[in-house]
Amino acid sequence: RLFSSEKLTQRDHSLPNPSWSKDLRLLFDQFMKKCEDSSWKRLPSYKCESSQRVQDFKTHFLDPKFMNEQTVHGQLFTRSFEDGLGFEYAMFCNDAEKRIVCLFQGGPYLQGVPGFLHGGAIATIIDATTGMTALLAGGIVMTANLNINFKRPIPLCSTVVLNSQLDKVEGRKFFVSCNIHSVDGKTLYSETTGLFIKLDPDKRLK
Amino acid sequence: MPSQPVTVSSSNHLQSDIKDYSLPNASWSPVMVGLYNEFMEKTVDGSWTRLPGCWRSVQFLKEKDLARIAKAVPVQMIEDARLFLRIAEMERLGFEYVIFHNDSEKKCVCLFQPGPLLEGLPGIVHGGALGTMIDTTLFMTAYNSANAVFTGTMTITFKSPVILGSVVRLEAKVTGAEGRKVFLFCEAQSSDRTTLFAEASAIFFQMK
Repeated sequence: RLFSSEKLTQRDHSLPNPSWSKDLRLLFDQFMKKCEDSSWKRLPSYKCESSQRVQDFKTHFLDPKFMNEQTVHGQLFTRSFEDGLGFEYAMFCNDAEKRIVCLFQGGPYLQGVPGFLHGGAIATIIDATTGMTALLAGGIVMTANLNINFKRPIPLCSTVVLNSQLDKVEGRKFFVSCNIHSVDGKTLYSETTGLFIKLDPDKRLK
Repeated sequence: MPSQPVTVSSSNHLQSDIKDYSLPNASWSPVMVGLYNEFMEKTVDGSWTRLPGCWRSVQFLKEKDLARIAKAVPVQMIEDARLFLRIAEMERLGFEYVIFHNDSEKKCVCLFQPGPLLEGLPGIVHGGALGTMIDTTLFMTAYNSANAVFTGTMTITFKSPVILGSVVRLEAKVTGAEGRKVFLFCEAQSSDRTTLFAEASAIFFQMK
């Protein structure tokens, strides 16, 4: 558990660093401009999430009998790499339109087939982006289903844009879709539909 | 007590290049080692093979296939690239896994122990990390049994959360083929196979 003073010193990773490509920086600046009238908002991103929402999750949903001295203390998967090596990304959300844009640059340590991003790395950034879209709408949610159509392989170290949209809400179910495009919009890399479930406040996780 | 955040950094990996990562190390839990031994027994008569865990992507693809891929989808090679699964040189932290292949049954079993760098919600494995292990197990099956390399579609249904550090047993098999399409199915279960964490269906494409 982090103390509040530790949160203040935690680095926000969704800000430019020297490893960001020109494409990524340009896109970031474009979206920061869109934030000026408050229609868009940049989402901060930390290694260890200590928000109230996450504290609530720990208190209400995690079964204490699973959490003992042996319990592994982790840190967010997508923020486990040194600058430029793994997932470099920044998410912007548009509340009114219930959508998120994620600007993503996949680094050299995300390789699958030589020269390309690993399918699992792509699935990870899709899960993170669609998950955030559902989370902003519904609070703490868990991934129930991801249906990914990989149309074209994504070259390692390239910059791409994920567009994620909340499609429908049915009780505790949040239906989301997401596309990945090249920066110029001409190449469609993948299409995804996903389902996230808001945790039942009356039940602990098994 | 919270542990110090860990960062995966670049390193001199000449030594790492030749090491086989899919062998037991001190971080493997007794359950993981037990299952490993069970499957090593099965390799004795040759029906099952343990796949080595490599550092570089080029090491698990055959030379001629690398050439065909380069021709089909030409792309710039990145010098310091590293296989996604090798996110941590240090044991215990990232993906600890070993994959066994059964040629005649066109299937693979993967034993997976997720470390603290793979977290999503506190104490729980990130959906993308489990998805990565599923994609990898599907790939090893598709490639070793049907010479298919690229994931076309992958649908994963997550049924139950995976606690960091616990052992996951994944099994993937080829269920059919049509032209260049190879159909596969994968289940991720607890070590004793009583809990189903996720199931996935996928289509991989053979190269022309």
